[in-house]
Amino acid sequence: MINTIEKKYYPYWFVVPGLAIYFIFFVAPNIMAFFYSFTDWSLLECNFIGLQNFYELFSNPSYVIAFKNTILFTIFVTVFKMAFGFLLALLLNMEIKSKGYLRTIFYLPCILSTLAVGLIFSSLYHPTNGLINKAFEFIGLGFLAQDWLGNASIVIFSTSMVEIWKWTGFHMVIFLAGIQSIPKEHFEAASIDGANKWQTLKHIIIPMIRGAINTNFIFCIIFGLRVFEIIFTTTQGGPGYASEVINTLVFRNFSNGYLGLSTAGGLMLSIIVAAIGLPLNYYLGKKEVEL
Amino acid sequence: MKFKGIFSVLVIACMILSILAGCGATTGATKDTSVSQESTGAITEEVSTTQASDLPAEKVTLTGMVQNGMWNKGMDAVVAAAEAKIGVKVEMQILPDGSQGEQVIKTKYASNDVTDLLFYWAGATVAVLNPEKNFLDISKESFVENVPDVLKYPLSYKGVLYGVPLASSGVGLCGMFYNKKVFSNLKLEIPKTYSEFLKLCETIKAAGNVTPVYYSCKDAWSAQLLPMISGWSYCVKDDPEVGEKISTNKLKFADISKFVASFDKLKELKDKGYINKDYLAATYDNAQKALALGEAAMYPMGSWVMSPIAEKFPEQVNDIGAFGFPDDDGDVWIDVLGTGGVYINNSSKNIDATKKWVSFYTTPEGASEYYKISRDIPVFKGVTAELFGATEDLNKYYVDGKAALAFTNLVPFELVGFDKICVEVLVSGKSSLDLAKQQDMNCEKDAKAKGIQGF
Repeated sequence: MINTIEKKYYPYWFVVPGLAIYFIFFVAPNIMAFFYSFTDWSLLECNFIGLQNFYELFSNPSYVIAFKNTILFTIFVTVFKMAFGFLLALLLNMEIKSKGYLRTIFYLPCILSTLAVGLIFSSLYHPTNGLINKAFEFIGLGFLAQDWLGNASIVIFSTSMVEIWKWTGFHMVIFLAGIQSIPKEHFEAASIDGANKWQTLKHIIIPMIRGAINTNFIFCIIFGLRVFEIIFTTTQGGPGYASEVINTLVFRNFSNGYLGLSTAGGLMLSIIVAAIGLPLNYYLGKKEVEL
Repeated sequence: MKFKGIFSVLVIACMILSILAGCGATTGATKDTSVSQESTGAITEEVSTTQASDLPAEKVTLTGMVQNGMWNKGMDAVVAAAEAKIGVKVEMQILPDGSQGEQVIKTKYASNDVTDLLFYWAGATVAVLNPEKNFLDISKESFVENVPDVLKYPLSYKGVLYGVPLASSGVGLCGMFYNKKVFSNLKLEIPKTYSEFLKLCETIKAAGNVTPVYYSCKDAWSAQLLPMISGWSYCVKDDPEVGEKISTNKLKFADISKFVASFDKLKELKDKGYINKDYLAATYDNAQKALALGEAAMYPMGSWVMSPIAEKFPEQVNDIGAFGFPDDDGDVWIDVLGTGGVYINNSSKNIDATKKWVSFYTTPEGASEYYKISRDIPVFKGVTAELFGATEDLNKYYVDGKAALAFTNLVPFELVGFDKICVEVLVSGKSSLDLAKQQDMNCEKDAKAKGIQGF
């Protein structure tokens, strides 16, 4: 017979396999990365070199560009994903016959393979043969045609637009869940009190979906800072170094064999994400309203 | 309820099948590596019990390592011929391409799990394998006479020759490829000086619908070719010791005026409007099409471009020629990307048989087997091969000795980021000197990481 203590603790044994895998493949390498970033490790040797990797990170001009691009990308993407996601959620919460289909269509881009999306947009963005420029010329807006991926000053914006297109549906779904969880009584009370649409939005919907807003905001920031695939598949960080972000540089350094430097870059990114994400999460969480 | 039951069974079956498919792929890969390890074990046993002998009746089997992309049917033909004529067989371990395979090779050398022969790159990538300890010094061997002098430098380490050229990784002769039809239509002649070249571009631009020079900067590596052909060969011509000086940090790239000037020339052609407008979105494939069909008059590239053009545009292959990019004084030199190398490992238990195989491979008897199948430039003396017209044009400079090895082959560190810096020359607005200094910074970092003396 099982005694009381075993009965109390046996459920915890069930999580041991999962936790072990998580620890071995996720937590332990992160801790090891912390130590490895202070060395110049390679497959054959490992020497402690102190803060030299970090000094390299801040002094090399291409890394400075990468930091700047990452922040720019994150801000741009967050603003638009949140705005479009919220707008779509509001629109598709109204009583339209095809709202089920529309919600699916808007959600579909986020399950596509990023590699495929990158390749398709590389072709769409081509300055002479690409569909986007040709469409502009066709409807007479030829002056809007740009060298989307070749113009160093707008390339980071072009790639962020692809990211926005891909992930807006995801945020829309989260917002929708938030909006639909608001009890109907609030809306009825508001309409009885004579509130118009704007007032309902400002005083009922936005305060009640604080949780969804926080979740989306954290997601946007974190995935914006971690961006890699979309840049890599459209421009490989080019032209020149114009669209490099932290992760593409880490990847490039890893390929060149500077494993210590790339570990330091990855660690730096983790610190930035944690430094921005954790306080944000705490601060926003405090302002959530209980339903 | 019944429907739900069937549905859940279906989903479970799909999940199991996809897991098995994923597992199957990985177990396949691990099986390959375990098989190759077994075969190495079996063969080294075989080799130690077999005595090296000159009689073809008693066959010796050697082992060799190579990366997938550096082996081709031509080399298979050489191996088959060697087995038939001198009784020495080579069993090849084919490793993955790129840095994956390089890491495998480095690890094997670190753990002393090596084969008799190594078919690999030359220059910086080989220097990390500790040539003095691992490779046999072949400078005094008779077969070295068959190796052209210009190819020997990257196959040596600290003045000692360790390898012979690897035919399948080919000599890349770099120059300006041009469309003969466009030139004859506009009655143009091959330019002998840089100012004649600029006049030529102006004529082509004025004529209207043909791009004078094509840049394919979406494939950043191809942007490196113009600086290579317009500057690198002349740096070496002016100072044959320049490679040595840069390798020991006595000289920096930013100090070499012709190196910095090559960046200026790259930009000049763009500023004067001699290149295609979509140069940042154009790819290597687009360039081949433009050159073959006459949409572009010229394209800076290496002789390896002729094989894909021959595959895609077989009718137009003979319309393409090449010339060396001229400098100011009329003495034209081309840039050469050296080959990989074949090295003999010191730890081989069959040094004599290995030397016999390498000797067969470098002499016309063996090397011609390769060139019957692959239309590459011969890397050994006394061998002829049927070359493409454009390659033949550049080969004239090579045979006359008006060729210099590219910096890539002359220095023990890698020119990290050179492809990106070439594109930066065109888009970033930074000065050529600043970008040359950035290149120096990158090279210094790589040299320090490799522990090269002087940095």
